[in-house]
Order: sequence, then structure tokens, then C-alpha cells
Amino acid sequence: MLLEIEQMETFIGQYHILHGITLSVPAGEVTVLLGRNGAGKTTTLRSIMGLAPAQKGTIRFCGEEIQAFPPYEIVRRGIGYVPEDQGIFGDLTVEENLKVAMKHKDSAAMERLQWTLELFPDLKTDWHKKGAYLSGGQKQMLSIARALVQDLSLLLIDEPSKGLAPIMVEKVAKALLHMKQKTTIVLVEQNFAMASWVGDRFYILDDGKTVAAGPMKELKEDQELKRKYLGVS
Amino acid sequence: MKWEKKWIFGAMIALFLFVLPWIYDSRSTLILITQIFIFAVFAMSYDLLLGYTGIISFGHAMFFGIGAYSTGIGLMRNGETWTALLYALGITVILCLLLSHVVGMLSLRLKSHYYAMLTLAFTGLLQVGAEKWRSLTKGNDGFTFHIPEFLMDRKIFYLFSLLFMIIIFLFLYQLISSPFGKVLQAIRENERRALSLGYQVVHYKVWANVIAGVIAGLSGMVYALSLRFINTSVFAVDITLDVLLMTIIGGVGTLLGPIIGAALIETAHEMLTELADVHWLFERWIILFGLIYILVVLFFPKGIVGTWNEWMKKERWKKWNRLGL
Amino acid sequence: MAIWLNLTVNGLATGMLIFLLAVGLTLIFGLMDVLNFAHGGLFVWGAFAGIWLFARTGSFLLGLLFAVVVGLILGWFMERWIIQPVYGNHMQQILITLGVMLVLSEFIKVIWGPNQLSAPTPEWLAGSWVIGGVVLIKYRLFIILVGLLVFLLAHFLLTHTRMGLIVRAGVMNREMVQALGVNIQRVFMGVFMIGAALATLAGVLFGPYSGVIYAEMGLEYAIFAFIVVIIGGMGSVMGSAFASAIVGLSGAYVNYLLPDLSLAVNMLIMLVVLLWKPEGLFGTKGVKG
Ligand SMILES: Nc1ncnc2c1ncn2[C@@H]1O[C@H](COP(=O)(O)OP(=O)(O)O)[C@@H](O)[C@H]1O
Ligand SMILES: [Mg+2]
Repeated sequence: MLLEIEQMETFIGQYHILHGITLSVPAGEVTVLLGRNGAGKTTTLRSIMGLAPAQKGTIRFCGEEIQAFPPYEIVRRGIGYVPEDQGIFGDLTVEENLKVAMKHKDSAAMERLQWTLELFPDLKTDWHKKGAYLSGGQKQMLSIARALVQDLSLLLIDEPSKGLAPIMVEKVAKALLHMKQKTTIVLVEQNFAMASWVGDRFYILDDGKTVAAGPMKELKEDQELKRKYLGVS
Repeated sequence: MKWEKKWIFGAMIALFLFVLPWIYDSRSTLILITQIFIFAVFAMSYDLLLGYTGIISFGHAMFFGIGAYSTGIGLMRNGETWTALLYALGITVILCLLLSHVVGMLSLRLKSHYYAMLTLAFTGLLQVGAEKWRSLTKGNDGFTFHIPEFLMDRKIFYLFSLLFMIIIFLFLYQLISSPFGKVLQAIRENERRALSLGYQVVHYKVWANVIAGVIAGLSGMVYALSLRFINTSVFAVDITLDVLLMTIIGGVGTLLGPIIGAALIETAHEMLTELADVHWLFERWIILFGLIYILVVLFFPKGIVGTWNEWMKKERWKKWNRLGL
Repeated sequence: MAIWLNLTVNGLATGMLIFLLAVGLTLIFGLMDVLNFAHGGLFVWGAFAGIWLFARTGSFLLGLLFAVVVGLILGWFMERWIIQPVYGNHMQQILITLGVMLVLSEFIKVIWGPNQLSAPTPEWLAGSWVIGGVVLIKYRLFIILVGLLVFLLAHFLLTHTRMGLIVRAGVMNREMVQALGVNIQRVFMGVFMIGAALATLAGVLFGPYSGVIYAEMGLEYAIFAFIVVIIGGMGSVMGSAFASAIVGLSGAYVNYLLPDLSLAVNMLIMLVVLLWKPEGLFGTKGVKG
């Protein structure tokens, strides 16, 4: 397993947000986190990144316990993050946004940049445009690209389809399938069509706990589970 | 039971303070205790902001100074009559109301830093203003004035200040136990939550600010009456710092804290001023206060009363645990 | 005409000093959400330390250098031992920096005594040039020059280096910068130390400009810097530069026309900005509570 989380509990301020998250992410697959609004999906990702440090439980990445590490140590070990609001720096251009993520400029990094720009050629045309002026879809692509230029083995993506037009959603989904060849992905997704298209296996979160898991194929058939936790029929 | 005990205890202390001048008639002690009463009121008004609503002001002296100047100027211009004092009261209340409202509306909808900065800047402006407008204030040299005959007596004035403190204490006690006060504390605990519960947070903050401002103005009035002298130092940052120290050392978010803090700081002032004759280093006692203040903020943020309450709570828990409850 | 030119030079010189104070304040605030009320204390320390060494050695440059070093050290100390322990708690932060301000200015009095000290102008900067009937005081031009250099350098660093990009990005979204692998703690430390050094630099430059230095001047100038930061927008160096010029110039002109109103006019500008554009003229950062 690339990533293994056991009984993770997270507090934000005085609030107990996560009550026991247990999940394993095998290398080379897309693991989808599902669950209603407020179930704790975003917080789970932020806890993995060390942005909302977990107070209890363990997070193991490549066998190493990382739950007590600061975010930069976690990133250095090869985990990238695309947040729910994309986290684009509005005053910086596309180029500058990418530069913030590129610590080194060695040949490997340039290769990654090349690969990323081939995946999202639109970014090249907007190279000098400020982040604030990009469309929602462009912002999403930039945010993913910004993670990809780093040396990753695991990518955490929070609801990339949120607020995008269907055609954009398709584009992003295709990009994810393409990226799968290079990196393992943990995807938080409310859009069930997209989740079932790109996902290999799923976890369902409810009220800060993992309540169900399995291969994505099974979930497609399990109407009961879907109705209970996801509100889809 | 518990509740009643508290009040009986309080009443006994109040009674003791009422008869104190006839038991122990030392002029300097009376003056000191009178100052403590006045600053206790000032600090309680500050705690309504800092402790109960979570608003940080670095310019609470502006209201204090306005009250003091209204009194001084009013009594000097209109003679030492009760009517003049009443006028001064009216002017203090109106000015403090207006100013606190304006400052609050401007900055309380923004991040807490803005209010802190704005109050600091406003008070600086008032101090410079008081220095420049010499025809009215005589600047930094200040001026003396007379007060109504009745208040001239030290004992009477002592009782007057004590009564003043008790009335404000009871008023604030009522206020913080009222629904309004509960909302203020909800804002302090979690502003976003209070907002999502549908409270007009800004509105509540502005009102807390107005009430604190007016009470501070009143304490400034009594302060001026006690000194019968006034200069621009009433607007100085030192005054704000003193009140910060009193509130924080005494215990934020309690009404007793500021009173205890006022007693401590005023007594320390007095002692250190005397010690300054012994060694010059004691003249720099502000450093000592500053260091204590930093240490308290770092390690002791609940202050004396808050820490005591917490400790008591723990003790009670232990007792219950022992009883197996 | 000559008088207006003179007032302009004066105003710009004052503005530059305020700018040097405001840069640190605005960046520290923008990046760390820390409003450093002790910034004025650093200003005083720069003045006293620098002028002291200048008086001892006769070298003003050495004094400048020393002030900067003192700023770096004090900045390191404050960030590490005062700010870090209360990180994430706004109330404690604000309260504690004010306490530090107090202690810093009182320590000045312990070391150098409670009275003001005179601060002479270094010989090579004394006097003035007369150009076309206008008298230009050399030292004031020197301040403007230093201020401009700092501004250009800061601007270059912020726009053309990765470190600068990180600082700007951090002002916009601190969490995202961390999620991209930046050790934000180090960035904080760096910005805090540089901000402190610029404040002490402003202090020592202020010495010969005013002729005297005294412990209370820290708070006076910090208030100007706060006004500038509010007008310009928290986190914006450009905004601070622009607002410093406004505050310096309006102060100079109004002081000439209506001497009693010079501080009031700056407050008035600030109030107008707060009402009309609370995030400041160049601000991009959210200001809502
Ligand atoms: N900073 C925060 N402060 C307080 N509560 C929070 C904070 N962030 C998230 N929460 C709460 O934690 C719960 C889980 O949130 P989140 O992880 O964003 O859920 P999801 O991404 O599944 O919609 C929600 O109830 C939310 O209100
Ligand atoms: Mg979410």
C-alpha cells in the first residue's frame, strides 16, 4: 500500500471533525472518497497534507509515519494537493503560479513541466495571464498542473468537477485517467458519473468516519449504499 | 447555595469598604483606594470589550480622556456647581456615544487588527489635538479646577467612588447575564458560529463598544474630579496600557478580575514610585510591568481570577470523583 | 514656487521614512496575519543604536550598518520567542506585541537615559545644494534616495525571484503555499527579520533628519505607518509606497497651510479609505473579520 491511514482523528480548534478515518490506497489506482457535504472529505485530505494535523491515529506513506510532519516534509516525500477552491494565486501569472511549485529547475523538473503542458496545452496560451482572470476550468487545470510539476507519487484532488461545465468535467476526467499512468490518485468527488468513470475503488465517509469501502464496480450496483450515504438513486 | 454565598461574601466586602474610612483614617490610603475604584470601573468597561466580546482596543484612553476633559473644562468654565457637572455628564455621554459608534462602525466589521490600530490612532490624534488646542486645554501643562463643595471631603469622595464602582459592577453583571451579554460571549467564542446562528454580529459589537466607551467616559469624569487637575496625559498610551494590564493580570472575561487587577496595579504604581527615590532603576518600573504583562499573556492568559476559577473547577471535579459521583 | 518644491522634498523624505517602517508591517501582516505593534520599538532601537555608534566612531555608514544588524537580531529574537509561541492566536499576538513595544522603548531609557539625544548630520551629507534658486537640503535627498533604492530592491525581489513569488503567494493564500512544499516558518522568519531591519534603518535615518531622537518617537511613527498600511492595503508593498508618499506629502503641505491639522488630515484620508475601500487602495487581501 502506498498510503495507509488508521483510525485518524482530527480536531480543528475545539471541534472534533474526524472521528476515525481508516483507509488504504494501493499504488497505481484511483481511490475515490465519497460522502455528503460536511462528511469530512476535505478535512481528510488536509490532514494527510499536514494542513489540519491529525491528533490521533497514524498516516503511513511508503511505510513511513508522516502524521506529525509539517506540510513541507510531506510534500517532499511526494504527495501533491489540489484543493477544493483550487488555491490559485490570483495576482500571479500562470507561469508564476507554476514557479512557486518548482523548487528545483533540474532536467527532471523541466521534463515534468513539459509533460504537464502537453496534458494541458491551454495553459501555454495563457502563460502570462493572471490567475484571477482565468475561467473556472482553466483554474482547475492550472491547479492540477501546479501539483504535477512537483515530483509526486500521490496526488490528492478535492472535487475537481465542482462548478465546471460538463465538457470541462470530461476534459478533467480524461486528464486524470492519463495522469494515472504516472501517479496514484486520491480523488474526492460528488459527481458520481465522474467518480465511477475514473475510480478504481471507493471509500464512503459519513460524519467524520469511513463507513464503507470496496471496488468501484460494486458500488455501481449497490443502490442501497448509494441511497443511504450519497443521496443518489 | 453556591450563588448565595458569593453574594453574601461580596456584600460583606462592600460593607467593610463602606466603613473603612472610619476605621482606618489614613489620607494616602484613602486616596489610593479611591483611585483603585475609579480604575476598576475603567478596567471593567475595558473587559466588556476584551474579555466578553473579544475586541482588542488600544485606545480606550480616548473615552477616559474625553470624560476627564469634559469635567475639567466644564467645571472651570461654568463654575464648580452641580449643574455644571450635570452638563459635563451630558457632554461626556454624548461625545463617547458618538465617537465609539463611529469608530465601531468603521472598523468592527473588519479584522480585529483594524479596531486595535484605529483606536490607537484616534487616541493619538486626540492627544495631539489636546496639546494643540491650548486655548481650551492649556496643553500639556494642564490646569486645575474646583469641584462642588460636597465632593471636596476625601471620605465623601471615597464613598462616592465606591458607590460608583458598585453601581457599574451591578449594571455590567446584569448586562453580561442578559441575552445581549450571552450573544457577546458567543461572538467571543466563535464569531463565525454566532454569525451563522443569525446574529447581527457587527451590531452587537458596536453596542458593546458604545457601552464600554460611555462607562470609560464616566470613569474619566470621576478621575478628573479626584485629581481636580487635568492635562494631556489622560489620553496617553500609558493609560490604555494600565487598563490592559489590570484586565489581563486580573483575569479577562470576569468582572472581579479587573477590580483585583486595578488594586494590584495601582498599589504597585504607588510602591514603585516611592522606591524610585531609593534607586533610579525603579523609575523604569514600566519595564517590569511590561515584562510581567508579556509573561502573563504567554503563560497565564486567563489572569488571576480566570486561573483561580479553573483551579477551583478542577478541585471540585476531584471531590466529585472521590465521592464516586 | 520654491517653497512648494521644498515642501515636496520634505514630504517625500518623511514619506520614505514611513515607507521603510510600513514595508515590514504590511508584509508581516499580509503573510502572517500578525500586526506587529512592536514595530515602532524597532524604529527607536535603530535610531539609538545607529546614532550611538555614529557618535563613537564618527562613521555614519557604520551606524547605518549597525542599526540594520540590530534590526536583524531583534527581528530574529521577536519572531522566535514572542511571535512563534502565540502563533495562531490573534488576541495573544496583538496583546503581546504591544507589550514588547513597551519594553523595547523603556529599555532605551535604561541604556541611554530618559532624555532625548541630539543626532547630528554627518559632514558629507550636511548642507544643501542651491539649484535655480531652490535650496535642497542634502540629507533629505539622501533619505529619498535610500527609500527609493529600498523600494526598487523590494519590488525587484518580489517580482523576479522565487522567494519573492512565495512571499506574494503567501500573502494571497498561506495554506496553498505550504501545500506546495514551502517551509512557511522560514519564510516568516526571513520576512520578519528583513522587516525589522528596515524599521531600524528608518530609525537611524530619522536621527539626523529630526536632529533629536527620543524613546517616544517609536509610537508616533508607528501610528503613521499603521495609517499608511491601512490606506495602501495590507500586504501590498506598492500600496505602502504610494500611501507613504500621500501621507508624507499631505502632511508637509497641510503643515504649511494649516499647521494644526497635519495629523488630522492623514486620519481623514484613512477614514475615507476605510469607508470607501476597506481593503486599501492596493489591497487584495480579505479584511472581513
Ligand atoms: N475550519 C473549520 N472550523 C470549523 N469547522 C470546520 C472547519 N473546516 C471544516 N469544518 C467542519 O467539518 C466538517 C467536515 O468538513 P469538510 O471536511 O469540509 O467536509 P466535506 O469536504 O466532506 O464537505 C463540516 O461539518 C464542517 O463544517
Ligand atoms: Mg469538501
